[in-house]
Order: sequence, then structure tokens, then C-alpha cells
Amino acid sequence: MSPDTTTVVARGLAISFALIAAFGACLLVIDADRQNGFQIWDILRAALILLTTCWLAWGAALGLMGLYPKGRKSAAPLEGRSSSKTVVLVPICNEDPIATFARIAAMDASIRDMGLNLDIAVLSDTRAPEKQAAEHSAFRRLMAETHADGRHNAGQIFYRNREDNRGRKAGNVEDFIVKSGGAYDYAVTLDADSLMTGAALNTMILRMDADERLGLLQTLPKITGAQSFFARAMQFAAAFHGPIFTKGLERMQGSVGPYWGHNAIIRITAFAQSCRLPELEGKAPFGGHILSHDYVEAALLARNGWRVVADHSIDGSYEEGPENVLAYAKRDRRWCQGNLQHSRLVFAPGLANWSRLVFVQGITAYLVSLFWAVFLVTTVAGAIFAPEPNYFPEPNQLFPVFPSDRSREIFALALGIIGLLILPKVAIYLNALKTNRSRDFGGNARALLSVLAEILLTSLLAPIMLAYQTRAVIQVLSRQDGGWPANARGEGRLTFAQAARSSLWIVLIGALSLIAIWYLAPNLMIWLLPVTVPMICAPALISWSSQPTSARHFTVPEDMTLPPVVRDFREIHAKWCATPPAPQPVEKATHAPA
Amino acid sequence: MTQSPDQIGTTANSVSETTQAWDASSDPATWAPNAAPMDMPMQTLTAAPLGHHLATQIRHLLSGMRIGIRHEI
Repeated sequence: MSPDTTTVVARGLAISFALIAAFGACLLVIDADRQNGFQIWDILRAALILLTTCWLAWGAALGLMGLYPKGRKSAAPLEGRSSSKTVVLVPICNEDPIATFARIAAMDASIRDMGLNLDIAVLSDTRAPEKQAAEHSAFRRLMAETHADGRHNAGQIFYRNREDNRGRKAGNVEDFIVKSGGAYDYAVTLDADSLMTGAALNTMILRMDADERLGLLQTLPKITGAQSFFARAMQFAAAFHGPIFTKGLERMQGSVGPYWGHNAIIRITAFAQSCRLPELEGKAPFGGHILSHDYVEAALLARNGWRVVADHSIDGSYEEGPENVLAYAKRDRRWCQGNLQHSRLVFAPGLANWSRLVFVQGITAYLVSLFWAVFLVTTVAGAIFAPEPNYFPEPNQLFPVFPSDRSREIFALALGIIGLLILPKVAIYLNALKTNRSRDFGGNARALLSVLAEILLTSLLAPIMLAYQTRAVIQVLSRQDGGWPANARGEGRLTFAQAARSSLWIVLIGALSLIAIWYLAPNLMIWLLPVTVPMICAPALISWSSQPTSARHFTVPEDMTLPPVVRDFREIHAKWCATPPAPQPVEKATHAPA
Repeated sequence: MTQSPDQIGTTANSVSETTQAWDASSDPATWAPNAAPMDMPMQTLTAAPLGHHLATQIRHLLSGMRIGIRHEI
């Protein structure tokens, strides 16, 4: 599939922007380092600034591209009901059964309100018998309540438990397709914390009907239910900046779009034809099951000529996010391993070049933290081991030659890097003012405060995230398998002691670095304070940002008008939590028929 | 394309369109989705060794130039 002209131009512009910014930054560093004599550190620093700036500029290009007003014509609104058979798949493993099944009850109500006839299949990989029994109880309650008023013209709800957890989530979905996929045209893949409205599902099905080469349609889920300061900031960023960045991504991806593993619809024939994943040779973390299977499945669909498209404009798609920095870092560790494992697949046969670039992007997203860490270390080392300036380089020279001051250039470089981080966010805010989008975020003033507070919070947390990501990369590169722990959903507030237990090593590194810089390279002190101080304050920052906050902070549209499906979920969840089901005897695991 | 969508999939059991009464005492084994098996071929993800790739390219180049043992014979 060759990309169209618009896609080629968008890709060309973004790549050119990233390369120009990267080489500009690299030349500034080389020029500054040249004044004191070029050392081995300086070569490494120049290479690292090239890579890191390239990455930052690439991210900025995505945001700026999303702001460009003209673009592809958005898909015409589709109406009516489809006769295509669709199943909603909810793969789960060790999740909170009450919350999971309450979400299904809310979605089922929304689907029925829409007049759709969709089946829902809960695909459980939970192994512990007591947890299986809890799922069975929750399923019984779901079925009792959703069948209370009859299910005329409504689909069925299934539940099955897999004895062999081969392939984890990808294997779970694959197992369903191999055994039951023949009954359906499409499958909507969800996570345990996903929520989708009947209207969104209907739009997705009609879009699949309208384009027979569309293999996968990915929605942009909005984060709901955030309680803590950290989670609300992430929720705001996802709602305010997310659609613009995704629009930029849509412009560049063409028909080789992303799959994020959930809140998407797949054409079953295309998926069955293209997406059975082999185990990679060798042991984890680089061998074994493919962890970040979604990116690979998107690439394989594109390899077989199917269109893979993301659409940020489909409303009614929701998910939940991590409530604190530690839960975020735990998820990031898993994603880091999955993305670095893609290094084995970059040269897989037949892939579109864009798919290969997406793999490289995913790998770089984590390596870049390591690059920044090494850059900081080499900067300090370069300052410590810099040779004394030679004021009389020529023999018999009468007047001294002073090294030219390049601090202005270095300051410009720092400003440029900060600009790459902040410019897209400021531009998105200005665009929101122009288009009145800021009204949905509490008005112009409140939206501005939220944007500034989010920038401040992410800047404070950046060195801590950098530390966690760098550790994750080093662990994976040293072949430590992080496994696939269950998501820490609902784990919110952290005490100082809890935060300190998980971040003491960051405090130590920050404090030792500060002392070392103070003694060995005091002229760098002011530059490195924004990195070392947040590291030293990591427990306080992690604990403080995990505390609950009100909806006045980081207001999002859902705070003003709660979507009915989210409201229904909360009501059902509260009701079920208030009256927990009677304990059931532990039953034998259920298996799908072969 | 290695296969057209029409070639994929097998027995498409229709999903029941009528309401089935929910039996709260039912065995979890009866809650599973209906069987409708489907082919799902394993994908190849490992690249061929570089030497093999180069040999293939050279073979194509030579055949394009009409050079080869077969022609000489």
C-alpha cells in the first residue's frame, strides 16, 4: 500500500523538522565544546543531543501537525443500524470482578438503548480458583440484572475461562477467534477498564461496513474517573492535548495506523488472516511471547494490505488511567520491555516502512531516557575533566587569547529544548481559545491554569520518570524479565513512607549527584538543580501528587456533563459494592468448546 | 495480499437471535461462546538471514541481466 501525497508531505515535513532541529542542536553543542578542546565526552554528548532533540522535535511536529487546519475530509457521518455480526471482547486477568462486570452492565444498557444486537464475551485468563469464583459470582449478578427485564433483540453475554494462558492477552483474543470467530464479522476489543457507548460502537461498525479494506479502526479513549492530582493532570492532558497529537499522528500514518490494544474494532477475517503471533526464539525479555502485541498486529494487518486507521473524532470511548506515579511507572516498565522487544521485529519481512519506523519510535521512546541520563553524566564529566584553557597557544605570543564565551549559544539550546516541549502545548491552548474548545475545560482562564499546572507538574516529575524509565531500560537490556503484572487499577493515595520505599534510590542518586556537582563542577550547579532537586524530593512529590483533588483542578468536559455510560457504571458499581454477592463455592474453571 | 478475505474463516455458526432464559444455577461451562472455528495461520516475523537475502538479490540481478549458468549452457 503506497501512502497518498498528503501523507508523504506530512511525513516529509515532520522528518525534516526533527532533523533540522536535531542537527541545529548538535552543531551548537559541538561549537561550544570546541572552545575548550574537543574530548571523547564531547563526541558522545553531540551524538546524544542529536538523538534526544530529534525525538523531542518529532513529538512537537506531531502536535503542530495536528493543529494544521486543513486535512483529509473527515468520514461522513453514518446512520442506521448494521446487520453485521459483532462481538465485544473483554479480555481480563486478575481484575476487580465487580468493577469489570459493572462496566459491562453499563455498556450492555447503552448497546440496548441504541437498539444494537451485539454479543459480549468476557475472556478470562484468571487462574486462582478463589478469583475465578469471584468472577463467576459477578457474572451471575450481571446476567441476573441484565436479564431481569428480558433481552428482546439483544445479544448474548458470554464468559469463559482459559486453562492455558499461552500468549497472554494476544493469546486470549486469538483463542476466541480460533474457536468462535467464525460467528462474527467484527470484534471490538476492550480492556477491563474500557467503557464504550452504544453510539460509538454503532459508528465503528458502520465505518467498517462502509470500507471493506478497513481492517482495524482505533478510537482515542478519553480517561475517566481520575481522582488524584497526578491522575487528573494526566486526564486533562489526554483530553486537551491528546486529540490534537492524535490528529497529527493520523495525518502522518496514512493507512498504516496504530493499534493500542483496546477500544478498537477489528475485521475478524483480516485479523485471523494476519495476526497469529509466533513466540520469538529465546527467553524473555527479548524472546518468548510478544508483549506489546498491538503494535505488531497493526503492522501485520498493514503487511497484508488491510487499512489500519485511528480516528480521534469518535466520541464515547473511555478508559481509566494510573492514579499515581508508581502505578504509572509499573505500567511503563511493562511497556518498556514490550517496546524494546520490537527490536527483534524491525526487519520482519514484508512490513511497510512506516511500520518499521513505528517500532523504532517505540524503542526510542524508552531509550531516550537513557540517552538523557548519559548526556547529564557526560556533561558533568566533561566539565570535571576539561583541560585548563591555553591562553598562549602560539609560541612567542604577546597577548593572551581568551576562549570565546559560548554561554549565549548554550542558553539558546536550553531554551530551544524547553520550547520543543512547551510550544505544542501553548499552541494547542491558543487554538482552543480560537475554536472555543476551552469552554469545555472550564473557560479560558481555567484552561490556561490547567495547561500551566500540567506543564509544571510534568516538569517536576520528569527527572523522576527519567529515573524509572532509565532503570527499566537497563533492566531489560540486562535481560531481566519484568513479567506481566496485573494493572494496579484503583490503587490511589500513597503515604510518604510508601512513596519513599519505592523512590529512595532516586533520592540517593539525586543527593549524591548534587554533592558531587557542588564539589567538582560548581559552575554546572544552577543548570542541574531542576534535575537533582525533584529527585531529592521524589517521595514528597510522588505522595503529594497521589492525593485526591477536586474537579476544580484540571477540569475536563466529563466533569461538567458526565457521559451516561460512565454515570450508569458508577451507579451500578456503587450498588454492587454496597450489596456484595453471597460467596459461591469455588467452581471448576470453564473452557470454551473446542 | 496473501489471501483474500473471502478465503478466510470457516463455519460461521449464527449467533442466537432469540432471547435465552438465564439460569442462575447453570454451570460456568455453559457460559462460553458458541463454537465457530476459524483458521488463523501463524505469521512469519523473523527476517531471513542477511546472506540469504543478498544471495536472492544477486540471483534476481543476474537473471535480470540474463546471466547465469543455465543461459550459458
